[in-house]
Amino acid sequence: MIWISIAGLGVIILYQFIYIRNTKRQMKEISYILDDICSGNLDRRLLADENSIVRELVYKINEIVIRDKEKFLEKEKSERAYKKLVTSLSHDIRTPLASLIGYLEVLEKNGVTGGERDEFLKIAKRKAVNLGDYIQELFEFLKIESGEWVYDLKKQNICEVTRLILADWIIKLEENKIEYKFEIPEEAVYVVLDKSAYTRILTNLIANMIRHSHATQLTVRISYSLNKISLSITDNGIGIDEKDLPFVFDRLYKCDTSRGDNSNGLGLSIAKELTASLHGEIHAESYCGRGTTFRLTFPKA
Amino acid sequence: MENQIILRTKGLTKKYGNITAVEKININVKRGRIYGLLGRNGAGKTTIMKMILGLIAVSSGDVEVFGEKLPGNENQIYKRIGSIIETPSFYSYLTGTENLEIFARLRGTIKKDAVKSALEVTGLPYKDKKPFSSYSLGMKQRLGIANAILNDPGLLILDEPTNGLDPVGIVEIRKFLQNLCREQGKTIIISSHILSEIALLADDIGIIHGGHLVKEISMRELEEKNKKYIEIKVDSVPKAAQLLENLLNCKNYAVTDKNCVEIYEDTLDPVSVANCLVTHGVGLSSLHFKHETLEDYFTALTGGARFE
Repeated sequence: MIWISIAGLGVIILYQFIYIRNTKRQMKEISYILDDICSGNLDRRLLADENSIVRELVYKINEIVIRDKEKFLEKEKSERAYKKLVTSLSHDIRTPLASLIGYLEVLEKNGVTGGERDEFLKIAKRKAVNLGDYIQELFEFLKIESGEWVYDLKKQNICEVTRLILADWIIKLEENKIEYKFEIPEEAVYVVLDKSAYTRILTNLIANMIRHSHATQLTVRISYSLNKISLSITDNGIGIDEKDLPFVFDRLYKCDTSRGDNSNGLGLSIAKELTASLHGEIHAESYCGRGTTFRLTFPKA
Repeated sequence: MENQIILRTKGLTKKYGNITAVEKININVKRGRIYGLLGRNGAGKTTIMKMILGLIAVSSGDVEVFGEKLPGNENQIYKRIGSIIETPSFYSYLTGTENLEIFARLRGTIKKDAVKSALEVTGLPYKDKKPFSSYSLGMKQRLGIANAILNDPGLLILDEPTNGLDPVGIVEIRKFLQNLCREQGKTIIISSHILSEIALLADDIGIIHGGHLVKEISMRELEEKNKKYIEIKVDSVPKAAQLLENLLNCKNYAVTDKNCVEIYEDTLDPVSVANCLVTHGVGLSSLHFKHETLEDYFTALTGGARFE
């Protein structure tokens, strides 16, 4: 009897011994990996066996590391965007500025007369105005990026707001010989909006259309359902190449065709960021040679 | 952390008897980037990957992963790499979920429901009844990838991951890998024999030809080479810009430096640009016409052998 007890006790002690040794080994490994994580390597993950007592703990630590890594990547991403911005800034300002100076130099030397002189003055002015727009856009981009944009969210009749914004565009559209059609419901449809952000979104989309699409027709349509309103801006221009389409909302992305002219790759990305801030979504559909549709959807208030 | 080298090989060589399969391979894989090993079938891509993963013995040379020498640290290092080499092999009579659960039990897990989430992100059903043997090739590849990412490794080594997939599947896998790299900061090494595939996916490219690494180059440098444009250096950029616009009707150009203009308009030829500038009194100190295509570049590198 005694012998059986002793043997039983022995087995228990042996089992405990192995168990403790295993746990110690696991702890040592965890500590080793944690050292690596502490020194900044957020790619490390702790592994837990199915029956390990520290499993829950390991899972929690992993969760924290993964979250840290995500934050780190987010930061890295915006740093990269800034770097890219700085390099492309120098091109984007230099190019129009150089040609502006070029035109002014010719004018100054009286190299042209009469009608051509007027034409050159017009070109020079247009270039200066475009540069001004560019700098305005850049300023707004930086404001969004740094989180300085203050949103004044209010419940508003989106149909009314849209009509007012579009009214300001009519002269510009006529100047560019673009026929327009606005299909906006008479009744009031309410959406929570920041008016200046919404204005900027539409402005950027229409300006982008005028600048790049070579369209002759523009349709702006608002429709709504029970809980959503959708606004579409459709042109009949050259369309966006299939290979560019997924990236048009990326910061600083420029399609090949618009690399040289006065585009900065900011307009659409600003539109996207602002739309997201208003809890909306933005999509682009395009058929080469047949035109492009930008579709915005917002939740109804 | 940027530009940190995650994986480096030095003089990596594999010999089978008298035959040298790959010779003196020096590759450098940077953190958070997709490294594409490009080469025709039989060039030695898989051999390199197998040596890195310790699946075949190294004849000579070194492999360094996560800053540590490989022989001696295998236990710690291989836990941190996810991989697929050739076609992934699983138990054919078990379902995808059961297969992954076996691997999870063998290797340990990093979170609750690790199997479920790995299947979800690769677009495979969790707990369905279909055995692996009746999976389509695309599903098999996906399960391979699910297994590779099960423990959220920092480095993935994937041998021809889009092999045998239909075009839709290829696009999906490509997006998935790009997302892993861009959004989760993973480092990925993939191999392929298709130039366009690598060009779409990779940040850095190592070109393997006949067992040799003929070139290691970043995609950005390559794109720079691949651009078609006329580069001019002039004494007065404003004057040149004005002439380009007004006389040559060129809007597609950029001023890239104090005296440097790049002209992208492809209807313009270098001779007419030079003529126009010079006759209007612009001092032209250099004109360079860049117009090499990617295919030309690779063909030149591999001594005439063409890629698909």
